[in-house]
Amino acid sequence: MKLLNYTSLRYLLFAALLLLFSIPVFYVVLNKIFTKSIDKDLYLQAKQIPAQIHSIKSERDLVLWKALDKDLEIILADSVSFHSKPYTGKVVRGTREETFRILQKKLRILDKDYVVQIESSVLEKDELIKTILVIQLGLLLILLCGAVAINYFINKKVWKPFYKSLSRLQHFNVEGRFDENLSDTKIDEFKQLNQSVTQLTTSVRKAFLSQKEFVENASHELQTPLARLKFKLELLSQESSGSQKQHTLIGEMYKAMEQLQSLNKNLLLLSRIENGQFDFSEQVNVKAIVREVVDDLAFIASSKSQEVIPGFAVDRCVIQTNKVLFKVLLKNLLLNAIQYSANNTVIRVEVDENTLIVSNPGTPMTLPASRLFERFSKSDTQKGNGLGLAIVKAIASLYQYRLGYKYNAGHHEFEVQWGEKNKMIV
Amino acid sequence: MKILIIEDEPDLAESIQQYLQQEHYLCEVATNVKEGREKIEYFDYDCIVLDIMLPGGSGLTLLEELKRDRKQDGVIIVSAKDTVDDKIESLKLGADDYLSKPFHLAELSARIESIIRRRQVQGSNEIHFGDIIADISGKAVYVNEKEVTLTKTEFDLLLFFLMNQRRVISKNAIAEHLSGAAAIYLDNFDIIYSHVKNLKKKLGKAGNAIKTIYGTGYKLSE
Repeated sequence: MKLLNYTSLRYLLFAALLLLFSIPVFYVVLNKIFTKSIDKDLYLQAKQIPAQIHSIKSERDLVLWKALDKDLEIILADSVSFHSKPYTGKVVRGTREETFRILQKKLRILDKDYVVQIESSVLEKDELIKTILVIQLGLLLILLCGAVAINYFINKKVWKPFYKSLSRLQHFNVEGRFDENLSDTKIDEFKQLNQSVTQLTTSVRKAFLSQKEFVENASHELQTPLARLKFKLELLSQESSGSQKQHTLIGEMYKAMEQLQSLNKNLLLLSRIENGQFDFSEQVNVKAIVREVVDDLAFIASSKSQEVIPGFAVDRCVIQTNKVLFKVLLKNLLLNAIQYSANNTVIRVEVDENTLIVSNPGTPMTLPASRLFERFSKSDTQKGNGLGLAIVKAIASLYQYRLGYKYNAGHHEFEVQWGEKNKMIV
Repeated sequence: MKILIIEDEPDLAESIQQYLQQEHYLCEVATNVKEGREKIEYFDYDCIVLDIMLPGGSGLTLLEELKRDRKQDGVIIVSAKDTVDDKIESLKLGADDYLSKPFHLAELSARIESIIRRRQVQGSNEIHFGDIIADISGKAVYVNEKEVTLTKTEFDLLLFFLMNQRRVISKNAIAEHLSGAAAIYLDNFDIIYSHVKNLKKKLGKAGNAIKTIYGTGYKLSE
């Protein structure tokens, strides 16, 4: 749940509860007030009755009074039950039944006991209450909606620096460029947050950069002594006086030397890719590159009696990329496939409009797929230095290719997918 | 044949010199741009081995000057900076070949040999060894004047031997020369054995000149 929704929802909940509670209370209170005022009226009217009674001298006067005063009803005392206080009752008037507030008063007219009923209609009162309630309800609703809306917008504004910091953190990438400019905010907490975020990211970046720098420097510095060692070994092997045993030793040293050198070269390449030292890009014909790389690796494949067969689903596939790196990517994928396939197998490279798939037969791997593209993760049987696929990944992320792996019907499948922006408008 | 090695690491330069001198090459060494420039101005070389990163400037400026002065020296660029720009730039400026570090001395020697051969105006583009004659441009091999049919790999292999005559070539260097990729990706050197075996068989008696140096590699010698 978003922060903004969370607070807004609380407000709305409060508003709903307030409405639910206030309407009945309102109704009851208003009703009481109105009834009280009607009753007051009734008492006032009742007070005037004794004065009128003096003028009644005969039965005829009584009948006339009954007929004239519509608000009064004069009934013989024995025929009705007497209420000493005003009450609400239903009275039939004509064809309609209406609710009235009624005050009864005992009177003695011409020596007979009568009950005089003073009636006042509550219809108007009910209507008035209804109208007042509707208006009140409307006002309340508007008020609450307004409050919620204002709150929403204020919050939105107040939390803006927070969301900005959040998105900065979300988009934080140790390798990528980082927006060091902090959004200005007056609120202390956000200021502190921004400071902490900056501190954290800066130190993470520093650590990452120094690690990267170290790898690059170390492998760069190793180059010369390694080359020196290699040359000396090559010169040493020229010495004809050496015994067979010495030559065997030289051969073994040579082998270790080559491994070291290849490792170093790959580390250097990896840091160079990650440092963006290859930002040069050009139009690259994928088909031509595939043919070239397959050709280059034919010798190594033939050492295991394997065959690398390219397949093209499109006539022309030109993308915008770095030729050398694209070659390295394909070469590493193919070298990987060659090493993990048994002798006498067929490795395929399929190219279509925006994907390249390298597939080779093999048993499911022991390495978890998530670690496949990590540095130095390799199975024990592999000859390489465990950097090949890490380099593939670095190149893919540099050019924003989507890299995928799946195990499908006894085949390992590596897929490289490039987007529209890599494609050339031909 | 005169070779100039312009390389800032004296030790590396010395090793290259030592290896090349085992053949008929006369090698000189310069360790910076200034020294290199002086040597180039005063002498003519058949081939210059030029490093790009040098104290006092880039090796590529020397290459530019060389071409500006219309010098005929062959140039092979050796660079540790294995970037495409350097390679393209070097070849555009007129370098004959580009070799990225680290390389095998045998590979460098073969490249130098082929540069020198390509630049020789007169004379055939052939390499002789005993009864074997390899015609580089015609891609044909003759033993006792009889043509021997070789596969492309076998021909490349023989040429590599011929360009490193009387020197031990490691199986690693051969593998890298033939495959274009580091030999560490080979499960074993069986494929080299079998190619050498086939080559020797096809060359007949002359093939005995390819000697196995146990543990290390091969050597072409009488």
